Amino acid sequence: MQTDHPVLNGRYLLYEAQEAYHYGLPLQLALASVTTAPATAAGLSHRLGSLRPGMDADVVLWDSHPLRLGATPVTVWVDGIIQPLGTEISVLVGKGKEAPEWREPPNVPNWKQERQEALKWDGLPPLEVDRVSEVVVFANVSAVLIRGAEGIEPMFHSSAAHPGGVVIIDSGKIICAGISTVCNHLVPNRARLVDLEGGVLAPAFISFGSNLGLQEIAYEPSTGDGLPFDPFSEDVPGILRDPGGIVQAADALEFQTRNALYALLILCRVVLS
Amino acid sequence: MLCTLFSSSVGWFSLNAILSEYRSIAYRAGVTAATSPPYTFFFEPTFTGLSATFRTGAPHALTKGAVIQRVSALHCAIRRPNALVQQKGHVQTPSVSTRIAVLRRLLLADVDGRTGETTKWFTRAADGALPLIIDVGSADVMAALLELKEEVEQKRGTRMRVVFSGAAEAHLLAKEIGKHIQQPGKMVPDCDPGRARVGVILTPPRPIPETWDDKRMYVEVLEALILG
Repeated sequence: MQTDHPVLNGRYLLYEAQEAYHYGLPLQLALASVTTAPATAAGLSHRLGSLRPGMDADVVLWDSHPLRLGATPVTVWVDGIIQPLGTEISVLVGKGKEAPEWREPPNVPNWKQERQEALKWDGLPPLEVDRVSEVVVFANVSAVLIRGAEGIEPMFHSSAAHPGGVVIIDSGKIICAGISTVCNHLVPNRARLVDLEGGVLAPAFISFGSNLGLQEIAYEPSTGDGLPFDPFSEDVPGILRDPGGIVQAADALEFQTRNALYALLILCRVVLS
Repeated sequence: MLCTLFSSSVGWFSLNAILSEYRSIAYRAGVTAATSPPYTFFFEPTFTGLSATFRTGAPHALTKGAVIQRVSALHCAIRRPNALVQQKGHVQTPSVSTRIAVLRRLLLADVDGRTGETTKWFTRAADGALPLIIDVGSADVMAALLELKEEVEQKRGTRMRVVFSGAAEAHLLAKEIGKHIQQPGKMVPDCDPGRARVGVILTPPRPIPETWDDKRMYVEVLEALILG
């Protein structure tokens, strides 16, 4: 079907199904939401939306399970005709996705705790930052990336001989990052242990250019800074004594907005997309 | 939640998702800081203003480290009008040439005793003391801005720090933008000669040619990034 494109980019359509699946929509329903459901809603289910004899031969071959992030079409048929898609594309589609797990749907969280909290807080659970005072130990770490002089660089990489690295963090600083024989003796008696299951530790993201911290609700002016004067279309008030009307965002920053806390706690899924 | 580990000095989050895709915990943390220009939702003024960089998790502005940098960059936008953007007061959008003319005047203006925030901050941008971030989509506008940058640097003997954001058509000028990175030029004393002076921030991550300015965008760059 379609979104209110281009307000919400139509190219995100499959991503929305991926998101819905990630957040708990059953797999078959997530796929149906971009195939049979819209075809039925449009009254075209006798021709579109499913693969059966007599239907239009509109088919996409994906390089991975379509509910995996980054799923990319390898071949597209419209009315049974292979589309010229790919003939001029220099990027190798499907590179690095040879392993069988790419054919499988991705693992998703069970969301049990989130469901309970959503009920308890009437849909708006508090977004609290979990600040820890104790030492935190990450186990089963495959790599640690840090900011170096030339950009992001690895500080530690696990290997086949030494899988599962250990990272000890105290007061926001890395005390030790390496294989368990190197770091284990530095683990204090009282520490929060986190099993990363082969994950990677990396510097956090920085958002650029959004309205984070300057508005809470889009289309609701009372929740934001308001609009600056545009000297190209109106006179900037004389009391500013500045015909250009240059203002500082820092003067209007709002903290603890849900958007900023979502960015802190949840938004990295958008960056990943 | 294990990924919400966060401290005032170092923010860490689990990057499981990048390497092993959906993992239950990978979505719980990520953006610990933000650089935001003044609020311009669905309104594209030429001068956006001065951005601030702050911690997304700070309780309020006066907590230690909440505001990382009060003034991060001077932002402006040089775009042809977007059919979907409401113009404030229904006034005709200024032309691209008008916007660049004003930019030229402000960047070339010598400090002649005039006061005001606009003079102050544009002078700093012209001197390379403050990054000038220009929201721009069209390669033609970028070319005009590179010429303007050259002109300002030659006349003032400075080296500006310019960033093109949005920059959907930047790939068409990759060589020319790269030249501005390599070119020794005239340095101001505190400038590191090896540092880039024209940066590009491709945004949004998956572009759409919503406006005429962005119509020659290069989507494969981003597909290449996604596919590794």
